Amino acid sequence: MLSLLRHHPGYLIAAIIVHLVFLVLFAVSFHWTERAINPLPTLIKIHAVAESPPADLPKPNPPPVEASPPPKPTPEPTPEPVPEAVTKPPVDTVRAQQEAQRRLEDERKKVLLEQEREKQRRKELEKKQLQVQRDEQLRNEKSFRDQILAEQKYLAQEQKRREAEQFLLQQEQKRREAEVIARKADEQQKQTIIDKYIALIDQKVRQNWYQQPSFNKKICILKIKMLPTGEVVNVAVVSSSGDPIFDRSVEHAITKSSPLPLPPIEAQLFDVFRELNFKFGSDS
Amino acid sequence: MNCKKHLGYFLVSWLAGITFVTPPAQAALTIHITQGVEGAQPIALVPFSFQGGVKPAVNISDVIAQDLTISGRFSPLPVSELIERPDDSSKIDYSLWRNKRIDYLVVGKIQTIDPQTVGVQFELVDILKGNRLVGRQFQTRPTELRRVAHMISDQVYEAITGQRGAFDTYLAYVTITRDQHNKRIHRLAIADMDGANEQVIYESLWPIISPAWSPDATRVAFVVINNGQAELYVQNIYTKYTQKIAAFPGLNNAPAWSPDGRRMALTLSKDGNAEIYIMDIDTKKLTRITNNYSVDTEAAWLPDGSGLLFTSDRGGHPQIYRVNINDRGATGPAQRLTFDGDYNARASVSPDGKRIAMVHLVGGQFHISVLDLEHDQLTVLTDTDLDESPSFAPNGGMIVYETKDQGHNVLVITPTDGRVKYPLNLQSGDVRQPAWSPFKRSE
Repeated sequence: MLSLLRHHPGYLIAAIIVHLVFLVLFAVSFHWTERAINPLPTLIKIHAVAESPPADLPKPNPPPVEASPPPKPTPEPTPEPVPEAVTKPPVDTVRAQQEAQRRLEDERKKVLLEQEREKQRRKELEKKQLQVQRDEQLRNEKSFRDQILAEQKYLAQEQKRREAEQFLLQQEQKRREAEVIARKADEQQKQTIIDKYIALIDQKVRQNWYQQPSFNKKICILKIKMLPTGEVVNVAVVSSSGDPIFDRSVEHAITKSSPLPLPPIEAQLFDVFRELNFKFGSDS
Repeated sequence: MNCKKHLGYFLVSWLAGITFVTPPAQAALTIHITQGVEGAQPIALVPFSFQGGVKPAVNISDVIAQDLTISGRFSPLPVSELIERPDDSSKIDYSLWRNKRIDYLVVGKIQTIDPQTVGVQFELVDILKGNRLVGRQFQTRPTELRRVAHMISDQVYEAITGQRGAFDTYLAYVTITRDQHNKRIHRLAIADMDGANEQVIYESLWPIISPAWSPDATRVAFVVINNGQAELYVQNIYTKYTQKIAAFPGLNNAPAWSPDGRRMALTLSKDGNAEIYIMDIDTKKLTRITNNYSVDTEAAWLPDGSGLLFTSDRGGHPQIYRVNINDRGATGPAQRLTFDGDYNARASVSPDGKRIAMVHLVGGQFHISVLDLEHDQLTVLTDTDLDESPSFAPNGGMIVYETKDQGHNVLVITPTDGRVKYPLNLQSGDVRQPAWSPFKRSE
């Protein structure tokens, strides 16, 4: 095995490269898997964000190539000793030949070494490039993830804000509804009070209106003005019955009923009663 | 000139602007009162002041107060509660009376002009509105002061209620007393509607029944059962001239003067059964109106003379029927008007012809009831028993009738709603069969 490697060092290099390639692939695929496991929010949101990216988002800067650590030198394979020729040349010539051969051999070794180094350099460069690419990818991945995270965070915040807004809106709506109900209840209560006092006024005036046999089929309409005390200060015939006695009797009914019953001042309903119309009599 | 014109335009437009700017008045509430109360209205009658000569025996304000009380429409303030005694509208302290919750005030003066003449002045004042409604002067003999009081009552009543007063009217009625030999004496009398100034116009040992007034209130028809024979008389109450106008065999009862005064409806049984006839007073010519095997009697004229109401038991019980008539007699079959109860009789028609007062048997008692013919509505006015002979006052506002009180027959006046009852204080003995006179003709 070792002899095989010794005789064919290219296999080793190839093996290393293959390993490296797999390593890189593995690293890359690892991130992909991660991506696949945590699917990102919809792209629409990303687009939306891209239009107005948040100010605090980290900007991806290209990684400085120089700053990257130099790749670790791979163990240099020791050059294999070239097997000596079996036939021995004459000493001088042999020596010279040997010398020349050694030089040639050295030269060849040098070239080989140079080639080897070149290969090594290229490999390292490749590796470096790969690393750089990987780093960049990683960095991109990271910044992307950060961006996504920030995005998610922003969206979450936005969501929270919206929810809070929604909550406030609902609260406001509820408050308004309550207000409307309260106002309705208030109006109903006011109407109840108004109805009550209309009935009281009706009762009082009715009891002060002396019905006469001649009052059939006559109608008289009066307009009156009141002070907040209920005191009637003005009585005007708006529409006469045509019978002065009828008209007088209804004016009397109002005058005698003064002061008219009014809701308490706190009810703030005086405006409803300030001016009243009275219709006396019926068509039948 | 031009400048003035412009100023005028400016003013006009300015005023128009003002009226425009004035906020529209808030729609005022309207309270609809369909009916008031039929109560007695507060009024005060101040005793009339008197100047010169002999003080009259009549207290005019008392007479007025009583009249107004009888009508049921007024409650005069007791004299003891009068807070001031003005005799002239210029002397009235209106606020005093308003505080006393008085609506109207009557003040007046009596002056002796000469021994045979007194002057009476009165004013009716609207306390609430603070103005005078009526002011009048009369000159009369001192003996006529009571009548003047009734005339003032009429004017006060009419000015306030809108209905003509019926105080200056008479009642005719029959009294039954016993002489020192315990013999019954029957008298036909007339008096003022309040029972004052009674005059006996006919006296008999035989029963007198059915007094009836002529439409001009100058004559009274009546029936005397003279030794079993009914005789119909007419007397002029002023001249006392008395004339026998009918004495047919059998009944000659229940005379009723036609509205034109020329005819008389009466009940005769000369043909064997009590039937209604109409007699021409001048010619004595008779027209038979009913022809029925049962008793038909107590005719009463409708005010327009178009028909008669009468009592008949043709349905098994006495009920009131109506028959339309012309100069030749009935123009159709009689129609029954009363369906409420087993006994309805003795109809008196109100002056407007819309109601009838009658004797109505209910709960085993005879009460006076009023039937509204327009609405077919029956109102029982009395709660005493043996109430009889209702008669409408000529203004339709009151009814006089006869009832029993402590074993005697007495007369009572009630307003047509029956709210109050005013018993007439007449002489002892029995007083029966009242007939309220029409309005007196103005002299």
